[in-house]
Amino acid sequence: MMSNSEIDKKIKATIDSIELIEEVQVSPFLKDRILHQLDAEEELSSSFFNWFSPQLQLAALCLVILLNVYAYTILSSQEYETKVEEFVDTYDFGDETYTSIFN
Amino acid sequence: MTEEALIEQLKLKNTAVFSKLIDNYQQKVFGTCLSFVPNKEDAEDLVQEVFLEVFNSISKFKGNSTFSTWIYRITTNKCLEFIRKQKTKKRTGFLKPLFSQDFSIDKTNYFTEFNHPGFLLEAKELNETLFKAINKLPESQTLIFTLHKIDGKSYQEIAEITDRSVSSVESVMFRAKKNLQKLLYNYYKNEF
Repeated sequence: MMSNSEIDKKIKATIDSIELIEEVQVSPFLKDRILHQLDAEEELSSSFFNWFSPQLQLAALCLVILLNVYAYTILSSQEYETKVEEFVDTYDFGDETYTSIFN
Repeated sequence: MTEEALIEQLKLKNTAVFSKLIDNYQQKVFGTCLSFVPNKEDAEDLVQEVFLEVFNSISKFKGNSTFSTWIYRITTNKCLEFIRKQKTKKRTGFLKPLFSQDFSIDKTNYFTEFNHPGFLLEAKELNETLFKAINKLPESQTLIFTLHKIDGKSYQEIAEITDRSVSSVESVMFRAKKNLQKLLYNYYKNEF
């Protein structure tokens, strides 16, 4: 087992070993690798959105708006019909014939 | 080219200017990455991530700090993120044999394989022990100790990168040194 003074020496040597770390030069091809990766990323993003031209984007937007308007009109007309039916049912304005046990 | 002009050109996605930026900063960014992650391949991957982030997020640079501080901030964030991810992988690594055919035992308890070309043979063991001890410190202490002692940044530069006051950096550094000595003391007491 190490004595305390030996441990202290070892700790000092360990911390001082920082001074012995030499500077490392960056790989000469790293810059090319980064630029190549950048090109690859740009190609990927441009090919993905290439087919989706501004004209198509506008058409898609119009389609979504039209679908929403259509859905809204259907929804409101259905609501109206439901309300009318409820009203007719409540006040017995319907022309259905009811069978009675007295008939 | 002034810093403002350089930033403007980068915002316009000028790759020639970006190439010049890599020339100016790649060695410094690589040095910082290698200080945190003592593995040449991992450090180079991180440098690549840093520059791509700089290019893609240049519009987010508001000029609240100098451009170099902003780059170092991205660098340190990327390094800490890498260390965090690797540590999580190590922690969950024990589950791997249960679900895969890979039964190899991971003998290292460090987040990356040491491959630092700057470690001299005679000091290799001491350097590795030191890096393992630094890795055991709380994240803020690891960050400040590494930037100051290994990467050689001044307290002022660290204060700007970490968005702290100089006195706060000094106090974290003091605690880091104390904790590092304690960790090394326990290590040498138990190991030898």
